[in-house]
Amino acid sequence: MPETSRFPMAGRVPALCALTAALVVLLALPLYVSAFWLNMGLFAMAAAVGAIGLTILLGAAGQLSLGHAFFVAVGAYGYAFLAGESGGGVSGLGLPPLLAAVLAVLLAGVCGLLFSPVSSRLRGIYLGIASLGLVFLGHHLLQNMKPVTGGFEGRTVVPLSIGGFSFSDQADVTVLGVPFGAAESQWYLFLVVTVGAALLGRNVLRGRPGRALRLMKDSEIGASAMGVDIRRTKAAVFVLSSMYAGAAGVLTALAFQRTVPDYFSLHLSVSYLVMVILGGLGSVGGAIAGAVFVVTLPLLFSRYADSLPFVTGAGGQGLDASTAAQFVYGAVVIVAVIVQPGGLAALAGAVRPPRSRRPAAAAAP
Amino acid sequence: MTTTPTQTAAELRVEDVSVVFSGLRALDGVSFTVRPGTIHAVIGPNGAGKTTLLNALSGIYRVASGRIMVDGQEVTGLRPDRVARRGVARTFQNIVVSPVESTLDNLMVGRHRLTRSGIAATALGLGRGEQRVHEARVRDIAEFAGLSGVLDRPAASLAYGDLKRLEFARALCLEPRLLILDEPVAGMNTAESAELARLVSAARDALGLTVVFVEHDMGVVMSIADRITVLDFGKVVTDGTPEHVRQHPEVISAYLGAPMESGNDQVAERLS
Ligand SMILES: Nc1ncnc2c1ncn2[C@@H]1O[C@H](COP(=O)(O)OP(=O)(O)OP(=O)(O)O)[C@@H](O)[C@H]1O
Ligand SMILES: [Mg+2]
Repeated sequence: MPETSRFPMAGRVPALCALTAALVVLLALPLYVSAFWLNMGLFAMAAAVGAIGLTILLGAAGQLSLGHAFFVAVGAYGYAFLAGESGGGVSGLGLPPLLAAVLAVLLAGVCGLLFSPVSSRLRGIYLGIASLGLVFLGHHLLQNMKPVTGGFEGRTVVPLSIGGFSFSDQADVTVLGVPFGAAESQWYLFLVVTVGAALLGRNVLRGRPGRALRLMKDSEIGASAMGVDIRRTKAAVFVLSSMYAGAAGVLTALAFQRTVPDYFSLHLSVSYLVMVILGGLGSVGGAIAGAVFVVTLPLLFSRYADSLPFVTGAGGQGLDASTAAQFVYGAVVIVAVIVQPGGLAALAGAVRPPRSRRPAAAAAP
Repeated sequence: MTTTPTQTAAELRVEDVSVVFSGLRALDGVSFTVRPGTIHAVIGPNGAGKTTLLNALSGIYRVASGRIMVDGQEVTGLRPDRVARRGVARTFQNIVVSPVESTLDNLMVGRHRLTRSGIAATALGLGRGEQRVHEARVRDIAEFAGLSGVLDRPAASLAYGDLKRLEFARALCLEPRLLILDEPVAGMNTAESAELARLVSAARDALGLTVVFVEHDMGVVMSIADRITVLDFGKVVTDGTPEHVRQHPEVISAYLGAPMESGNDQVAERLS
């Protein structure tokens, strides 16, 4: 027995304390801060869920996807269609919202499965290029399937409700004198989903599938010699990441209370990539941190445009807030990739030639 | 490690196997049989086709013709993961491990075919019981291979000899019936080589394994091999006991110019 296991919790106590403190703060936040901050949190949590899926796909399995935005769109529009009522030029099934949310996630998984003839055969950057097509396909469908998507104007999104409680401004609830509107109640909903998504993702990465994925990333031949079915594994991890993207889509739709096609562009896919690369590939906590950073930066810039140099509000002469934010996280990505060899190595692994028949050395002496 | 064999060693029959790379016949009608529970060496000069043979055995290279039989069942043309599921495990000439993973996690990958929990079950935390059971066995194997002290260290931080033993131990973690090793002691010093050679025959005795290994170190080959197949230019030069191979005129003239002696470093040099 190694001596480290004698006090298995010893090293974890500070981490557990920090986690508990963070959780307490997160739970208390709606009682203290305004809807602006809560909404920013909602967007960040929605993005975090999608980023966890992508970090499993890219970080652990080494499979690049530029089609993440497509599956986010499937989740968002899937929910809007399944839960929405017909009328105003769009149709909907009017399912109970919770059921619609679950089905929307499954639908994204099914779409990921339909892509498995491609996702199971290609690796690394080649899959990235192939999945790029999905974004354009998605955009075309969103513009043209008007009855489902509402065309370029998009469609409104029914708030989630569970057992008669609606996560919207209609719910007439007051907690400690604070009225609980959409932002406050959804905050807790999103928190539960995000924590759940993080725990599930962490389990996958720490367990048998995660180990197989990481060896597969370093050497497909090595992994298959251990009995890992490469094609099946690639297809499965792609489906998993699609479902995470679908869940992110449902949350995004709920947070915006509306879906519009322009949001689900290549830009969104790239934003997700930035999140997971910044966060450190293959790390659930990193994906969450990356998502918070990428989502909140432009919002903070526009809120504090007046007090920031070079940044101006709408119609001003300097950089607008979102452009300024892009400069900043562009720079941070470059720095992160340079100082964090893990990220660079994973990217380099993603550009290796496909289906090499020569055993690849992962750790040559 | 348990000293009772957990399964029966496999018989390997290689029947007239050829492998062709865009015109180059890397293997040309290779045949030999490995009896269950024996240690079988494959030797030959660089480029003779030894690694190609092992890759054909484990399903990594497609054979152009011929058959590969494990315990009378044909494995020719099966994918590597299917071959692994038949109880065939291997190591690589150029070490293949996950560098950032701990030694323990690298070894646990070897349990993949023996464990079940897929993505959904693992996500829901259902794989933990299975993992505990298998981790105990993996720790035993690590102890046997002398890796207990480095279980928590990332593989990238291991000394070269430890990495070679890690690959060997990971192959054992598959609980194979046929163990394939590509140059298991290459790059090790004499003491490390002797220790690994001892581990290979101890594993064979304890676990009920058949072993096929490629090696340039003639000291190791002569000390543990029950039989030897000599390859050159993709063809079998000769096949027999170490005594037979040592005396074989073609082997002598091709590599040695003089009869082989076990542990002769000069021989090892000429062969590598
Ligand atoms: N994937 C491949 N594609 C093309 N040619 C290959 C491939 N793999 C091996 N060869 C060729 O097949 C021949 C045998 O190579 P192999 O690696 O089997 O030799 P070896 O006996 O293992 O040599 P060494 O002792 O150097 O490891 C060589 O000429 C090699 O160049
Ligand atoms: Mg070789």
